[in-house]
Amino acid sequence: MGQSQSLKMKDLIPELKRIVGDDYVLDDQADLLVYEYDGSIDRGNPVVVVLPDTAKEISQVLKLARLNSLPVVARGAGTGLSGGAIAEHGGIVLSMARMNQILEVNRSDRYAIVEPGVVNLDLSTHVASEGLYYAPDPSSQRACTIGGNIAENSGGPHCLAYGVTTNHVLGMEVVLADGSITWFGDNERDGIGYDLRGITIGSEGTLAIVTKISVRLLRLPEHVKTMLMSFETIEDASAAVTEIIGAGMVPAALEMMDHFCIKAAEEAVGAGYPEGAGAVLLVELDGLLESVEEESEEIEAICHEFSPLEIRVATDSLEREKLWSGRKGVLGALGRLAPNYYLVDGTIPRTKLVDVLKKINEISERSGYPIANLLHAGDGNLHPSILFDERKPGDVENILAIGAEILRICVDSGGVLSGEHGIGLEKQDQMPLMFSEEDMATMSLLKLAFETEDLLNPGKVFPTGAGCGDISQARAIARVGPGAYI
Amino acid sequence: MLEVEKISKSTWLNESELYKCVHCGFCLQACPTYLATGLETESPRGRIALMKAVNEGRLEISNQVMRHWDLCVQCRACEDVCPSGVPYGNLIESTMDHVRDYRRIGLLPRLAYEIALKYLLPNQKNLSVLVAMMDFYIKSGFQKLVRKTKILRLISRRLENLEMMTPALNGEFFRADGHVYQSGMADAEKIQMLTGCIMPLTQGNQMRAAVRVLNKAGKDVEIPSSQVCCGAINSHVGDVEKAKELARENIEAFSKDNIDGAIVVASAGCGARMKEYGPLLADDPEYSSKAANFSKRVIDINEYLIGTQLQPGESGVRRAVTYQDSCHLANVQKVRDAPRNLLKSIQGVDFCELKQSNICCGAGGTYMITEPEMSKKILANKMKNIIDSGADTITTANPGCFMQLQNGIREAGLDVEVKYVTDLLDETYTKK
Amino acid sequence: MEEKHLIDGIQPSQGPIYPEDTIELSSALSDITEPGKVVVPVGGATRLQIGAKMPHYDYALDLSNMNHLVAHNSADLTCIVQSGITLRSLQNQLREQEQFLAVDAAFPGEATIGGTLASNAPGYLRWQLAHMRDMVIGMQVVLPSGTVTKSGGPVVKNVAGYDMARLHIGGYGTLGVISEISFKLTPLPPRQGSLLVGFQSENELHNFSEEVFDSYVMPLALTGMNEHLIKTLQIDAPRCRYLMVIRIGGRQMAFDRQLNIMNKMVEQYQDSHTDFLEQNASDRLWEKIRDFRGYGSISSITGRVFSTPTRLRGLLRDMANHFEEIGSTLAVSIQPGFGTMEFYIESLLAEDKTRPTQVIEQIHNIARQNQSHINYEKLPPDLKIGFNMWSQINEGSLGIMRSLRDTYDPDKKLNRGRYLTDKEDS
Repeated sequence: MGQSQSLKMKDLIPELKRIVGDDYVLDDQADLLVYEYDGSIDRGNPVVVVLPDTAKEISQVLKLARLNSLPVVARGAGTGLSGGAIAEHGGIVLSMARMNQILEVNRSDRYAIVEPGVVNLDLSTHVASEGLYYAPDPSSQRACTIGGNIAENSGGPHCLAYGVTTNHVLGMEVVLADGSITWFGDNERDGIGYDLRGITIGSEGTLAIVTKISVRLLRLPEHVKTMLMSFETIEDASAAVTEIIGAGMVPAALEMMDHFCIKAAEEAVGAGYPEGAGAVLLVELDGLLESVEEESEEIEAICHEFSPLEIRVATDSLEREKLWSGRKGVLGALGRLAPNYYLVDGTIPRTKLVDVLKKINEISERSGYPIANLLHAGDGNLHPSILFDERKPGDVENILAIGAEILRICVDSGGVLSGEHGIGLEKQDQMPLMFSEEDMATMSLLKLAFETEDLLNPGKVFPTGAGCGDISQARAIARVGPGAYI
Repeated sequence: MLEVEKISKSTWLNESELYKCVHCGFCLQACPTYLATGLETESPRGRIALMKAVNEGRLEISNQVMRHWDLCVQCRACEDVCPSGVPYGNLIESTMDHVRDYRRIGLLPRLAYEIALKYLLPNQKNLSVLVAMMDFYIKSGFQKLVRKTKILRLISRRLENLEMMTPALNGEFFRADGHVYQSGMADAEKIQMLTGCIMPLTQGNQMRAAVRVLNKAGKDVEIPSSQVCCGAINSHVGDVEKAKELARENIEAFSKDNIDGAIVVASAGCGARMKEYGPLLADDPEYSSKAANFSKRVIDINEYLIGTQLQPGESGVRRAVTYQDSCHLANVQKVRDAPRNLLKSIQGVDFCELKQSNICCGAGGTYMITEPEMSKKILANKMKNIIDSGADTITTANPGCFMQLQNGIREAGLDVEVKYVTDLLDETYTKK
Repeated sequence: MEEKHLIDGIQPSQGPIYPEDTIELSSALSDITEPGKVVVPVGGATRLQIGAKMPHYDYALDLSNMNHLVAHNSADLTCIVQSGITLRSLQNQLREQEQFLAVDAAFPGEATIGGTLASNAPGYLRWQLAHMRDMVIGMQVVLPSGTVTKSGGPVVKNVAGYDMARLHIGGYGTLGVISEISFKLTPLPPRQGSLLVGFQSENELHNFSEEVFDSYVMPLALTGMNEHLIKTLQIDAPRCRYLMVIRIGGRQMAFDRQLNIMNKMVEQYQDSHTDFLEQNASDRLWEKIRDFRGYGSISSITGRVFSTPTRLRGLLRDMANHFEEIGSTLAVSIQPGFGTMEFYIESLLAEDKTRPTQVIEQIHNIARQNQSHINYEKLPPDLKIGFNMWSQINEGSLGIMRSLRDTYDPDKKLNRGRYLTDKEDS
């Protein structure tokens, strides 16, 4: 922080306090330190943290930030995995934690209006008594906020059948970089004009600050059935997935875990996954009782073609939860296999599962780093997790290189850089793997159409310079602190 | 920044435990202080980040840093939701122990604090005197005068809060006098019971009810006389040495007659502490295995009763009952279903779940006295949920929670009674 | 000169261009460098009447030769198509693998997928399968300068980079020309059919629709209509003042169950009339409904309403009352679950122009009162004045839309003066 900025800050803090109240402006060194991270490997220190309560306050904060040329980074719960909420260039972190009210639930029109700080799962819990729920269910749904979900266009296990965040947001109130407050879309499912709502979702907080969100609510299904299928090899399991999708089945969720994950999950939560299996599939069907039954029969039949070791069906919610407990606890449980893991996020066409997993396995064997595979297999979203020990010299460099190699394989097989975690800081320098200069320039123009001063979450999404993989690594290593891997 | 003291990088806490935290943020929504403030600084992840920063030499221990650690209620709800298995309880206790030397507390509060922890709480006789004084204070009518005039507010907000926490004393004290309460049944199993230090004095009637219910379950209940405080509060505020000392005394007290039956505990905080005597004394060559054995014998009264053949009285009760998880029962001892199932087994109980029942009520041992503002913030949210539940009776499993809920209800003017699960069980036998 | 390139009576001054592929499309655009030249991308020309009247235009960029299914990865339920492919041609090819794209629009034999997306064409397959924008997973777009850019890709889950395709769906070809699209596909349901339920009152129609919405039935499509539309479409529904058509699909048992649920619901309505159509008859009926885009006469009007299920109730009632007052008739097709409606006015039969203008103003007022938006898809030429076809949107959004227009097409080479951003250019 330069001295001139410090001087400016001196005047800025009282101004910010006047806007949001004394208790909601943090500038003590210790307080700023706990806002330097999110769920990712990145770090960045804001110069001040502000916790507004209304769109009006945010508008005033943005106007002030503009006057002082200070970047503004919106933050939900800080559970993101690509560094989206990191104040890479200092400036103001705008924590939405206080804006956490569910403002309206309209049962007849099936929508709810919520503030961005509402926790994803809280919304579904809140509307459950009305027989409704909010479909996108990221693994962090107990903690992550709807506002953060909008920034990252989050998915989740059940987005296979129901779609990701963008498919469930009807409209939103936003504060633009110049401080003006407006709505993009409203409670209607269709409308006219450019889809500003759609373009803002997944823009990682670079276009506008979202202050109210109208989300679509769905009817809770009549029937849910969860099945666990175990196979001797991961190839068999992958082939079964390809076959299930190819047969036109769209289960609510179709998850896959390899033997590393099975072992870790079993040790951690004892979900009852069969020992010695090379991979398990967790299949959940929901909907009308009859369609669930008909589809589950077909899926079982398909799986039998790949000589499953076992097929287990949960018959009540308790058993269902047990089967899911292994899947939900597996990431944390990987800590039992190695001190650290680096989780990669990429998507491939579902027909390429066998192929890509084989290549990942080859990398693992060649490099000597075990790679645990956890997949939202139904939509081709891979989460290979490279196991390593940060204390070993060279490990960090090596696993980052492996991560980049895996992503290259994904892109080469017709896939993409990120299925659900976003680009943020983590993958910005890998964007050229997937996009041409023209593609990225066209995207950058979008940001310019929204604001010319680059105040909202600057330095994210797009490559920072040479756009070369090695530079990305060096930067990542420079950013990484001890233990800061997920 | 005020009063910064330099600390060199040291191993004041277990690094491999500390770095298990991958700052995923799953703990935020389980943390009562985060829920009350929305501040990352008042979250488990934030507190761990500060520990890491101090450990790495990136941050010096300042009053501000200690403030965030002090504001932790130590409910350990975060441990329960942590996918990485971070032993947060250990980390915060080590941290509290470590920062004791960095504190610059005024002489008077420090003295009061030392007296309470080293002298009063561990020794029932001394505490009895204090409570007897409080009893007089309440019954003499002086209390009404004080409350009415709000005179205490002028003296000190903190003192006033202490005054508001003065438990509604009822009945006689329950004494750890070596007595064996007989069930009157043939072949009754003999078990032992910890009284704890707060409960027998402030909730003597409730203790007696608990013993009666144990008798109904066919157990003879011995109250060993030389037992002392479990040491929970000492470890919470970072006085590990005193906690160890108390643990050794209790191990002796409950092993005198070579009984190796269950040690039933009606106070969840004490149960949690005693179940962890093993790790606490792991480095003590003389006591490590004794402590581990002792811990295995400790069982919460709810957990214990659900495993017996206890039949609630036929007359039942007529109440709309909800249940507030006591943190140290749910998060540390992982006992959640037993109290609920006991309640549901009582005829006439209309059981309704309390929203956020797993979130701390803000009692936190001495927390309600040392951090009154935050404690009240947390409690206010709890009261909202109690109103929403529609219950006329709220049950819980720990004397601290019991008193905190009573206070909240009194201040909010709610028509809700606070009970232990065993109180309601006892009612089914006594009520006509 | 082709008849199809006539827009509001204007021919392109320089004639049409027919690119064969993206490269030709790109060079066609980059070759037009003279300032002030206006290009209109054209697909099947089924929806060219929408938008404000352009003062002039120079090139019709006709994409009908870019009509290939580039790839159909049936095992992955995805496909890549050129934007000039007609809906019918695409669906026919997908059907071979028992799949379909959950996008429908009128005149599928002519309507192209690019035009359908660009003009956000109304369709009926939206109850269960949501908006057609939800089927788009990737898009290649040629910018006015000729630059070829892409976003997304042929995978079903993707958050890499901005979701640029959103801008072009409903963008009426004002930010770029869609050249290729990746879609996610839906398996054809093994069994399909439609239930027809006739009612005597508007209220019953709404109530029934709400009940279906609330039940476990998941219709593929659901639309209601009033007696004027029933008559116009010559649907055999005797004695019914309102008719609901519900299209369902699924495996046999699930199909039967849904039918049973609805048949039970119908029992509560007195004087209701039901009919069931098996797949072929059902398909024919839906074609008839889908292809009705308004009356043929030059003075006819077609309007489209964007709203919510409950607001539609008030809106339909107010509109019906208004038309009764002015002694005119209104045919209505309503999709309550999706919150959309279309209305068709055969003619306002007015000697002087003032009354029709007032009626249009009044309809906008009714929409405002019911917190809904109305967009006109067809207005008589003499009533198409300025930007009255476009619904009003809030200033903040309009500001960003104008900025987007200025950013991506600063010379307004594409469709100048037609879109809601271009008010000052007409």
